Amino acid sequence: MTVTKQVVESSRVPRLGPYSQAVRVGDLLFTAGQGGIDPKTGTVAGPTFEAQARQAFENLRAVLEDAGSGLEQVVRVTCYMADPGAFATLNELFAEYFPSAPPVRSVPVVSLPKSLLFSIDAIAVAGPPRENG
Amino acid sequence: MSCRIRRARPSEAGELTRLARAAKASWGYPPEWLDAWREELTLSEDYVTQNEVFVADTGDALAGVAALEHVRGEAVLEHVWVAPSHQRQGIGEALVRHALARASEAGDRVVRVTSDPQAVGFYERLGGRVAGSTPAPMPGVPQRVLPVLELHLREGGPSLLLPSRSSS
Repeated sequence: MTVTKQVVESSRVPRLGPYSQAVRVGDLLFTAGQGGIDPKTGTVAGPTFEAQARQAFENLRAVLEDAGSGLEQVVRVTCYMADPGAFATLNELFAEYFPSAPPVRSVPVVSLPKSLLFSIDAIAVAGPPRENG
Repeated sequence: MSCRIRRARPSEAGELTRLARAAKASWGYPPEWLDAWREELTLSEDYVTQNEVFVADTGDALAGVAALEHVRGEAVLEHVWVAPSHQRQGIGEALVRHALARASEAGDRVVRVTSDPQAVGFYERLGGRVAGSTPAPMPGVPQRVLPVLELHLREGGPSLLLPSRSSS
């Protein structure tokens, strides 16, 4: 059985290297790690964990929506944290962005590049996008 | 052919849903695909109430529709459909220009649209540029993708967009 792998080119969150922002296989979507980088300016959204994590969640939402999915269709995330002390803030944001049926989650504590404090990637279900004309 | 562009009424949701399916079918897609798109081709009363939905009204019938959505402050063009009997008369273009004028009034600078692969030229003629793509696999065509276009508006509105060509 052959499975076709399709690359998503998000119009709102450009990729920052030689990877894909998201790849779709069948009805599943796999996203790249989204850090707290403002896609409009290309710079880190702020010095605090909350500012960066909020931007990362917004970037994730945009990539998902640009691929015919959405936050409510996420089944699994990995949240990479530079500082385990921000766990309570992460949980608050998590409840805000995933208010019902939250995805499964792993939260490794790691070193991140570019003074990033947070990064999130996701696996989600994708449906047919609405197409016009 | 003269028709008036006006806001859609919620009571017209059913007629607009039939129009959407007929317009999509005019590309020659198989009925199974149209069934798979049932949800995406539906305009509910709530949808018409909650978004700016414009129709081209001939006096006898609705010839076309175009919707302007604002999703967390970002403008998106959706449900751009022209009835098969009224295609290639400039109605789609008039509807989209109307929606873009509204977006400009609302302060938007960019309007995004996810296009049928065969409609990309229509949006490009209106000043759209392909900015991304999104997978839309269908049975038998697992590699199918849709172009995502951005229409950039400038202060003063879409009169500054590329000049119109009367087709589609």
